[in-house]
Amino acid sequence: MTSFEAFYRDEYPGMLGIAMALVDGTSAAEDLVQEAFLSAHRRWDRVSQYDSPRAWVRRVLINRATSLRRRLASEMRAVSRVGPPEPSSPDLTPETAGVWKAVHRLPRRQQQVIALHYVGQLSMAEIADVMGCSEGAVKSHLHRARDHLRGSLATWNEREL
Amino acid sequence: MSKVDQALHRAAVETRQAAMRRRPVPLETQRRAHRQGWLTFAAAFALVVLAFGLVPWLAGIGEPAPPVGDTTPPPEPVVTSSIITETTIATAPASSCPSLDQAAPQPVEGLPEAVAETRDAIVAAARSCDFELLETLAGERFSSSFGGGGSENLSIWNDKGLEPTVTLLNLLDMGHATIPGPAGDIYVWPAAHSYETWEEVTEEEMNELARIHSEGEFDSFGAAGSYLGWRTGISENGEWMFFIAGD
Repeated sequence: MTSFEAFYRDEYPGMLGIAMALVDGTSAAEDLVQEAFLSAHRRWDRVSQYDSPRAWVRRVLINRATSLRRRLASEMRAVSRVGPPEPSSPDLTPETAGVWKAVHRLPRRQQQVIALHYVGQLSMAEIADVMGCSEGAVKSHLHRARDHLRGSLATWNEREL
Repeated sequence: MSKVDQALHRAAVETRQAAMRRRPVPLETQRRAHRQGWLTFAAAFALVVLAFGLVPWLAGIGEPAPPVGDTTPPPEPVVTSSIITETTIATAPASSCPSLDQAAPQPVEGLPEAVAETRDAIVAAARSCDFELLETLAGERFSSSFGGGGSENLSIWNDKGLEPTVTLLNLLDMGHATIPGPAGDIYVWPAAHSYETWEEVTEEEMNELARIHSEGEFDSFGAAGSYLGWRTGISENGEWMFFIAGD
């Protein structure tokens, strides 16, 4: 059985990358990753016995990312009169931050597929496992996501594309 | 490779590199354990001082102090008494996950996307007996008949086995309704939960409810005046709010 400490150390960068693609701001991404690993830590006796603890903790991560975005959306509505501060990602260039901003405007499942495929470097089968859907659905989300992005990314920075 | 693909690949490479540069922060449990270690030490030190210094002094001027270490154990979590005293569903040990084909809710038309996604995620986790994942799906305001608040109280599913899981799957396979919540509508299963009186429950709905409740329980709902059995709710923005029974 892999120790939790080793699992945490090995999986942390990959998890953080996915989180950085899913939410604005590095510290928000780090909090998200912490929450996901805490869930695994609390149940490590069981989670470590799963076929893929790696897939499990990524599933928790994308669920938590959705909850966080919902919570932030309600908070944003509540403070919309004063204008919320822009979250910052000093670790990313403006171009990359812009790409993720465009991704954040996609439907949730499409965002997840993009993050897991491009940043997480997961196979279609692994993404299907994490997202709890078929490989066909993953391919369909990915195809639609690219279609959507073709328009928004071109508008955002035509020169880059 | 398309231009979109190139842009995404570039962004992904940079993001992975940025993530690699970040050192893993100590997990909150480690920091908390460290803090708790100091707090425990401080508390123990204070008790020792109290025991060897203050107590004898107090004993001379008043009633004897209670013995150090005579701590009352924390109360057990309050468990809402469930009206469910018997069930037609056989329980199985939590370690097994038999086929739940008979409790396989189909997608529902007309639900808001966020509600449908949460419902689908609950169904997927429940059908694979992934109780840990179910815990993570529960929102911060989640409440259940198992006591307490938040997602942690779902951990009792690890001991309860399949019974609540099958109940949950059966619920999500029934007709739904909406009730007003603190911040928008809450989508509830079964629809009977939204009715003011037990008389409003249709025969078809009774047949559905018979999958999780006995005739005796139906009688108790009639006596109470409304449906008080198992129900679950998801807020319109997709937060899983409750899975509860009783009043």
